[in-house]
Amino acid sequence: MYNWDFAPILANSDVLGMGLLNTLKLTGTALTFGVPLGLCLALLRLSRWRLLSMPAGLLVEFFRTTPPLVQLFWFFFALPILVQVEMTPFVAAAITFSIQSAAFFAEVFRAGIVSIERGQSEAALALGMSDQQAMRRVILPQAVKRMIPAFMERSIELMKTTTLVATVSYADLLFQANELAQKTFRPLEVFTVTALIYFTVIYAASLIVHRVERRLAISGETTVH
Amino acid sequence: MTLDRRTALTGISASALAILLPNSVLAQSGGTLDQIKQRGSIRIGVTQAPPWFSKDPKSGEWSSGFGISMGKAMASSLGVKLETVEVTWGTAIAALQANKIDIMYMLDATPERAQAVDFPQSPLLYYSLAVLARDDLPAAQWSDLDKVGVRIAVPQASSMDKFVSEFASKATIQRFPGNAEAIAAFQSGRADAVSLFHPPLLVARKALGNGKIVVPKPAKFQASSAALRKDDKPFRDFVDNTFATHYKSGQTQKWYEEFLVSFGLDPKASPAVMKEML
Amino acid sequence: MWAYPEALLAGAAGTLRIFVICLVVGLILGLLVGLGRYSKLRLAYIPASIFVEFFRNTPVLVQILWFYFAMPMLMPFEISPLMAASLGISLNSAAFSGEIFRAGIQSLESGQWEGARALGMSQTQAMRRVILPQAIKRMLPALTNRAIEIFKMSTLASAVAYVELLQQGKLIASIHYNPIEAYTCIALLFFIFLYPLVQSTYFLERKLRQSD
Repeated sequence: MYNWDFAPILANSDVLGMGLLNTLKLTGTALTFGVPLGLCLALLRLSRWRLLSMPAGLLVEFFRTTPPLVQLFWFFFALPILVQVEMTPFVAAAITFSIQSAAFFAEVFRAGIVSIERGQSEAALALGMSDQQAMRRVILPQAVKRMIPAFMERSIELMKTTTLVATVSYADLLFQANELAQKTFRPLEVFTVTALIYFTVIYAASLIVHRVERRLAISGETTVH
Repeated sequence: MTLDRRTALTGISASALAILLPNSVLAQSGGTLDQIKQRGSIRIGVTQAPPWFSKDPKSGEWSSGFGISMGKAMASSLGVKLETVEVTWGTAIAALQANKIDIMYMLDATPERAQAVDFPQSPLLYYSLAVLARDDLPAAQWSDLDKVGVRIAVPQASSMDKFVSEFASKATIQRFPGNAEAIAAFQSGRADAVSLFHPPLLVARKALGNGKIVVPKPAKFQASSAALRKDDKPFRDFVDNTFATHYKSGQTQKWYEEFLVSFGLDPKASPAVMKEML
Repeated sequence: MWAYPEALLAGAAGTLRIFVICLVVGLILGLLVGLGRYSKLRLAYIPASIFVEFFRNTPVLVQILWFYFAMPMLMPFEISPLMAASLGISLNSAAFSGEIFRAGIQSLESGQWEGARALGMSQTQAMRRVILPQAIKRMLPALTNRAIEIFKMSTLASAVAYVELLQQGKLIASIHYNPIEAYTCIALLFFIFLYPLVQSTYFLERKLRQSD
């Protein structure tokens, strides 16, 4: 029978706590930059000028198709040499996940914008609005409301993806867990506790997402003003 | 529906067993030596860390390094094959405890590790703790490195990690899974210095082409050892004897020099790994 | 980089191997889980639900490390890197595909069953000729997406030193200190391989939607 011993874990709970904070910090930063960047990319892709839409499209496809871990290694080890700029682990990780989530958000934005009936933009134009005004005042607000569930799901995905930084030296929760397992020689307790922490945080987040989805569904789709 | 579910269930359990069983070996009784003889091979832990262990990308074999030479010698004296299992410095002890490997060379004996594993009496070899630093970084003393703003890369849970955390605690210490990543961090400018023992730094410096190797004072010179599972006297005595024999006969130093030569380094220009020769 | 075709080939072979294992196990187990979630029996529904909630809401890397480092402390048999990574990725995929299967089965209106039976078909005939083809059509896009996700997740196996494409990239980078070339090459290899597949799934989706 295995001798469970959680004492070293409890004694080092601050190590794990710091890791959790760093995970949240990274997720938050990536979202802060990823969402606006994603919107820009989506708008570029929808643009009529191929000079804008093609590079944006290529960037989005590239970051959605290549495995996130490969991207992380590239930004961590290749980019600093390429541009001769020193980057802390946090900066390298933040850049990677911002661009990556931007690529996914770009698709969510694009699908949302496209899904608003064409009638809406025609109606807006008939009312005398310019293309830009139509986008800003009519289409985007409705699109955003439809996209909120997809956004929140993407954000939860992002939190799970940030665990990849444990393989490079950013001290997120999984990295700290690894450290602790190696110091205390108690991998079973450490990794079990870590899995439970992740589950609790992410499950709670997904419950919030479901409640938001239900509330949006009840309030119904907005109608044409 | 029910019929499909039942057949699917049997199919799933069959495939699950098929995945889990072929390589599964229920915990064998008897000490490590008995298990080795039964299995017909000795499993050594390896990690990409020249000059100790190095993998050949062409063949995928762990074919060179001091540790490989020692492993081959041990295997042949036991009349078994040599098996390599990839680990990291930080997970080697867990691998020993989980019976994934029989021995991990180049793990230094520390009181914390001694709680979980055993070490033989005889040393494996001797080496000094050093740094590969940017040419313009003052590093003649450990106190030069113990400053806020100095960034030092080390492999997680290694001797370097422990030492640097204690004696250069003001510096920013970055911990990576292995030697290669720590060196890469220095190469990419993420760290001002990477701390390893002297030999791996020689190898790195040669490949990188820049940076200076310094053994900061006071020089931390120590013996390296190998980790073994706890309470296994027969195997421990065997390892003890093997290390002592090869050390005294100069074979240890020879294996080390062989690797340096194969890597294009001059053995005369590198410090020896035998205390008596320094 | 080009001096090591064997290394890259070995990596590609490793990637394909773990992909196939995880795809097959993930789909088969996913089907069971989906059926369990659809079932009205609490004995099937509750464990299936716990499975889905747990494996969808924990990161795959955590699971892989748990299987590789933590589980051996409990069980006496050896877990190789391939086993640990396969377990982590397969269970995660099973949880997601389980929900896809369930949604696929549920989305079929009962009208379809009755219509088929009115035409004189037996239950199995209805299943085979009407229900299953439609269900597959609805689930195929999501399942092909899952398959592509599994392919990308194969890189996580490098965290436990399984020899796949990224692991080989790391090895070459560490021997020659050329991370730019090494990782760019690996990224391009993945992109060149996956992009056509991703595009064909878009095409597939469009065709299926048209034929509805």
